[in-house]
Amino acid sequence: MFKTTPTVRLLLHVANLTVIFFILLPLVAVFIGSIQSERALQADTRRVLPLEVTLDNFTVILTKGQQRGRIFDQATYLPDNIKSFYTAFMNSMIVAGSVTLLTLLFGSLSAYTIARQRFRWTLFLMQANIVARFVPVIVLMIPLYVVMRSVGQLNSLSGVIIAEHRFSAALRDPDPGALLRHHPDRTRGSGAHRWLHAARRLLPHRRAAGDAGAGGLRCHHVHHLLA
Amino acid sequence: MSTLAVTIERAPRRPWYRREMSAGSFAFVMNVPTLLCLGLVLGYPVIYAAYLSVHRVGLGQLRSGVFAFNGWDNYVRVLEDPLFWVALKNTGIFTVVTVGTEIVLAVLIALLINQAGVWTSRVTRFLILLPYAIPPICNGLIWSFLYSFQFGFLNRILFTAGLIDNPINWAGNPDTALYAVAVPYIWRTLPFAIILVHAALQGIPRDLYEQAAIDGANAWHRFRHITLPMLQQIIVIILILRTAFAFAVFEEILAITQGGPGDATWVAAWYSYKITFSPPNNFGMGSASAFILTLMIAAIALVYMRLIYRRVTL
Repeated sequence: MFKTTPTVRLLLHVANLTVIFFILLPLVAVFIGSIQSERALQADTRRVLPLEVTLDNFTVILTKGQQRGRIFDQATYLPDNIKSFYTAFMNSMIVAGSVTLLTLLFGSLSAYTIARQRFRWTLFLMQANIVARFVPVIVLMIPLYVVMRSVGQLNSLSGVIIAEHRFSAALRDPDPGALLRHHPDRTRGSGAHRWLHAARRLLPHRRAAGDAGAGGLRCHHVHHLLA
Repeated sequence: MSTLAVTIERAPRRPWYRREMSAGSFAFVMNVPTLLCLGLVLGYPVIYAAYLSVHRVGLGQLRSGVFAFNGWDNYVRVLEDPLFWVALKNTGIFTVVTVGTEIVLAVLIALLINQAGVWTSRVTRFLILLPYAIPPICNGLIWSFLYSFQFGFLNRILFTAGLIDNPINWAGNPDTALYAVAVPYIWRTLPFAIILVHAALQGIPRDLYEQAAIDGANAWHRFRHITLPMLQQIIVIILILRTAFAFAVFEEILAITQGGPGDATWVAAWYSYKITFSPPNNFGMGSASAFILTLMIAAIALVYMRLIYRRVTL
């Protein structure tokens, strides 16, 4: 729309490259760190690029410490939890998958009524979901710890799934709700039951709503849990 | 003259399970799972946290299951603890630094990626969401590796650029530690703000800029008198949202400094965590401090809700 002078274009490129540098810096640093041995890292503390490149760090994790590779020949210590890498990863996937499923299921039902059946209390429910986002994790961590301890759910996958389900409560409603709000009410006109109508409204949109919701939620859950 | 007799036959009464539900009952049934979830995993713990905050609860009491009522004692002890005020001050500084920086950078970067004709802007737009996909704990670990006093890449880069002669202990120095935690937090949460501002930028009608240009307005005037006023609403929303979330920062502190050095990075959420889960495990006092934090965030949330609903109804 507006012509930019070569100087402005140059400044824009410099600004963009600065932002790209800021975005990539930590990720590139970790990647460079991961492809060299600890000895090489310690040998020259002023060098950015590695002297030698190795994938041994990945090998030792993926083989649960069984194939150490040459950089670990002299290593006297490997953390014990390296043996449970796959278990930890699987646990994360189970929790992330379960929470995503539960959240999508409950969220779709709730979103349908909030979008189509506009009662005062459904609006309140939506507001409650938004407010839930603001509740600091630490407030729930303490009572949930006490409750989970008393019901024997500490250090269990089911305990984590229940607790994590809360943290996604507020994320459920908006997208499928917005999708359904603008959809015509044809099946109701032809005499379908509310249940049938809800199913006919929700299921054809499972693809779009599911993709939008599940994608975001899966990112959210894996985001929180994989660490 | 003939009369037309009309007889209306009543339809046979359906069994209860085939009857049409009223709209209200139907909405209620559909929301039962969400209500249960909100009640059991959110409402109950919050109420239980309030209950714990007015009782003496330690590991011994947890074992016995008997919590002695001690009124406002936990709240008084929290408010009389100098460390709580240090944590609150650090939380305030952290919030002001992160939210202020985020808003300024979000507007600048959103303007930058809005330049469709510049190819590097397209690359930035492509990469911008990358930090948002990094889990907070991973983010903390990545940055603690970057900050490492001996092997950290930040010092390596500064050495290579000739900007420093001796390594800097970014996260280990009480003067820089809080800011060292603020940078990773900003790095992770900035994309959220950028996306919102960028979406708002794209909603500004181009005619306004064209008319302003015809009237002789330069780029700064167009930004000052068109862009900024049109972004005002989204900036306020980001300000409130980010303030509420920055107030409850926890993961980056846990991964990078664990409150140290000394009490330099103790924030409100870390205070509650340490009081609760470190010996002598004072769950009551931890709940009380967490509740004080919640009240502060609730005030922010209230403003947010009022703004959002005013915006929707306008």
